[in-house]
Amino acid sequence: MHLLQRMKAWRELRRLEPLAASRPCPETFCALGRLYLDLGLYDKAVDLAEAGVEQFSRSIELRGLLGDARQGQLAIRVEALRAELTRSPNPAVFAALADAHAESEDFDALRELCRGWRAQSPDDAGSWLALGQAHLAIFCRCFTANDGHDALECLSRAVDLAPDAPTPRRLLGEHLYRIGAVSDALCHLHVLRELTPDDEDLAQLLGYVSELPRDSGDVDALLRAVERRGSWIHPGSVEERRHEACPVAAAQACLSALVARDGVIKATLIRGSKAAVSGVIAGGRDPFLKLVRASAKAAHGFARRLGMGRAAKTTLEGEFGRVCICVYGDALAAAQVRSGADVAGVLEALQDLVLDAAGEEVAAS
Amino acid sequence: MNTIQAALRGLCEHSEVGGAAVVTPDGLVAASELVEGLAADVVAGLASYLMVSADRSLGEGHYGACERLTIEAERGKVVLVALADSYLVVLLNALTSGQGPNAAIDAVAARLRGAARLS
Repeated sequence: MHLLQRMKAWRELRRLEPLAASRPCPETFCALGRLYLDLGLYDKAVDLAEAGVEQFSRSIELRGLLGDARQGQLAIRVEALRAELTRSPNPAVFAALADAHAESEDFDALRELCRGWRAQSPDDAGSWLALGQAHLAIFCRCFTANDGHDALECLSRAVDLAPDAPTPRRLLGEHLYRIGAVSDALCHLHVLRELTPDDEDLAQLLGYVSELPRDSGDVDALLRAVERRGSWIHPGSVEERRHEACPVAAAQACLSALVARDGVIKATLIRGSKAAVSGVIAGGRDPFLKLVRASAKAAHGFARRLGMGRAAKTTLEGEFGRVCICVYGDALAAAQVRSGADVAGVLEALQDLVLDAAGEEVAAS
Repeated sequence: MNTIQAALRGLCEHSEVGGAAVVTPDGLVAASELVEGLAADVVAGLASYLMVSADRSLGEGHYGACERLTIEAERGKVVLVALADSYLVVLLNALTSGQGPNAAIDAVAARLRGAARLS
């Protein structure tokens, strides 16, 4: 930002700050927060976004602002840690920087860092643990067998280097049983039980895994099966197990409630290749789903190219009525409504749907 | 100043409007009143591509043409309105809430449709 732009931004800041205090609404908070980001005032942006999210918890724009502001803070932290690493390269700084790279999802930087970490301290399990966690995070998102394999390999190396460290062994045990390698997982969990006899969560987990059906032992085949299936073989935490017992139930109920509103013809919640639908809709091949995906993508590209950030809500109008689309993270919800229907109310309901879906798997219906 | 330019200038006097343009489906600028920093030809190219692809997607599902498209993004909003053989593009600032200047946009769109018929 050059000098004139900065001066203009500061002037706008003086106008918006009192406005946000006197007229607190998501639009004002977002405009002010984005200005803070432009000026590099990340701490102020985080404080404002947190206050905004507290007041307007269902605003996807404010959640987006909070995410961007935290990324800004993280970028500053990364720079500071890099400088510290140059001054004194020790395992604690390596670990902190690896955490920061993982948090900002900069996996290339993380790989590069771990290479340097290993060269510096070849017997330190930390670099393998950090890399294993990164591969695990990627695997959890797309379930590609290669990432699953890399995660297992890195975590196994971390366990070999630090056999008494509970974290890598627990991650390895959990990863193994969730892909269906129950026998291998049990070996690690039993060792872990001996290392941490007072861990009640572990005792519960061990009880749960012991009751799972035993596998063939071919981990690569199991990883390929997970890739084909697109999800874990066995759910993880207690909370997750509860969700996976009825994956679409919550979304489906919300979609049905939405379609029951006056003027709503059909509604959908899409996440990746999977969609839950309700209303006058002909299953997964309905052109409505393609329309929603294509329009959301085109609107996103348009907004990005014009420097307007992510497109959160898009509405198409015509003789067909209106198609309202709401996007948050990798989830998008949409509804077709008749002209004259309560569009603001529908967009709010769609916003709730994508917010709920952001932390929940959506199965095909 | 021609009718289109005058209509756009009038629209931009609205406090929530940050700029406006009339573009053709092949991405050419018929008229524009945009703030500094936004290239009219870029806006025209993107807007026409967006409307043409929305029309194509709607056509595949036999929905009919898109008459109006609204995008609410992090740093502002955009309203695209289909005219006779062009599109009205209106950029709104981030503080626009609810219906905002919709009535003004509708009035300008109606005026531009009329102007197109006369010419």
